[in-house]
Amino acid sequence: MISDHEDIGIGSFACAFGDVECKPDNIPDFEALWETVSFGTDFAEMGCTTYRKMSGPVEEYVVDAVRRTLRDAGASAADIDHIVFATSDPTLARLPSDFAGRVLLAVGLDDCVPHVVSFQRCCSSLTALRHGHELFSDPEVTHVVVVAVDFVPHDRDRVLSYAVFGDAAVSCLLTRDDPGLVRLVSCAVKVDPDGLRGRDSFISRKNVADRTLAAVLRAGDRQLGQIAKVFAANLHKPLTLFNGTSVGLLPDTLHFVETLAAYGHCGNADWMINLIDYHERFGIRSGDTYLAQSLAPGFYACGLFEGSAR
Amino acid sequence: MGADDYRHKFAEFLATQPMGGDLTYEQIVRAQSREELGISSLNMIIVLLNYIKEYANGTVTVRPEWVPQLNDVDGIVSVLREIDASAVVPARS
Repeated sequence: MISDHEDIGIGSFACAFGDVECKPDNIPDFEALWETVSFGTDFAEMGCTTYRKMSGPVEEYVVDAVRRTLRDAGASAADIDHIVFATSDPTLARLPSDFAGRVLLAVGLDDCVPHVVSFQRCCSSLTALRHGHELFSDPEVTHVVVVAVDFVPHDRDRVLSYAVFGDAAVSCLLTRDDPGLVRLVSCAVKVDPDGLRGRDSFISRKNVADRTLAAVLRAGDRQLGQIAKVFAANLHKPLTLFNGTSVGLLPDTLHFVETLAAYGHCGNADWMINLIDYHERFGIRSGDTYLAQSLAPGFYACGLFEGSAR
Repeated sequence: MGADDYRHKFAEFLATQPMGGDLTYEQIVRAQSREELGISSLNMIIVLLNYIKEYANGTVTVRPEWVPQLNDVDGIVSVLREIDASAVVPARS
């Protein structure tokens, strides 16, 4: 997909992490749990020292993030035409059936249509952003909120060989005729059928990654070497470095280490968390090209962004 | 060093890794596939990055064309040779 709406700015990102800071090794029987899932790897190599847990209902964190997005943008609830929720498949099954309604009522989104994008595991939020972008084909649409949310109710389910899962809700605002922080250049998600069958391999994972990256670069008329920074997924640190370099991305372009250490893998919200963290530390630069990258068994997603002139 | 020497070097290095402790030297030298050795893909990545750290002082970056070679022992050995050949610092023997 290439962006047909160059006048749509994306900005006012806001994170609501789980309010309780936890250490993985404080999970009861952590050593035995890690031995069960780890294939003999040393947990210290993971690169995650803490994660955040939501102690209250998930919609409270979503509402908090959306309110902060609107406040930052100087937008009112009445301005918002659509809200697109993105979540991984397991979290979708955990959301209450009246989740969207509760969020709309709490924020006061009285003339706003809710949507949900899922079934693409941790790649769902990039597709949600693309969907939110496409809603601007209606000339009357001026503001769309996109929210990525993921959480895990039971601590023992947070620990897998490739990640420690944390809880977070992250929102951003797409606005017509506003530069925002970035604009979407191109976006793609591709499927690895071997991954869907649980038989993914180095070859199948590299194949889907190569196809996806090539698609966004081609659609965006960019070269790999033009990517200034990559907002990666917060998976096991060596795995994330390997995943990047295996498609030709340089290790020092990957931005994920600090947020992985503090928050773990927040499902489909990772690339947004890393974009925010990078902007706070270094600043998104006008005209630079940025890559958001998400992956999960069976899926790979990329989004190319350009820093907006502000 | 020839291919056989690199098989031995791989076996010796694997023995120093946490996940390689249960494998005998003979198993490693005779194995054809990574699967035979019970090395998961995550473990293979960790072994590869640790090898780069140990023998190339972290100066070598994983190349995309190495990835498909990491499923069999001959391929892994070939990658280790390329790492040594690419190292900015002299490779340790």
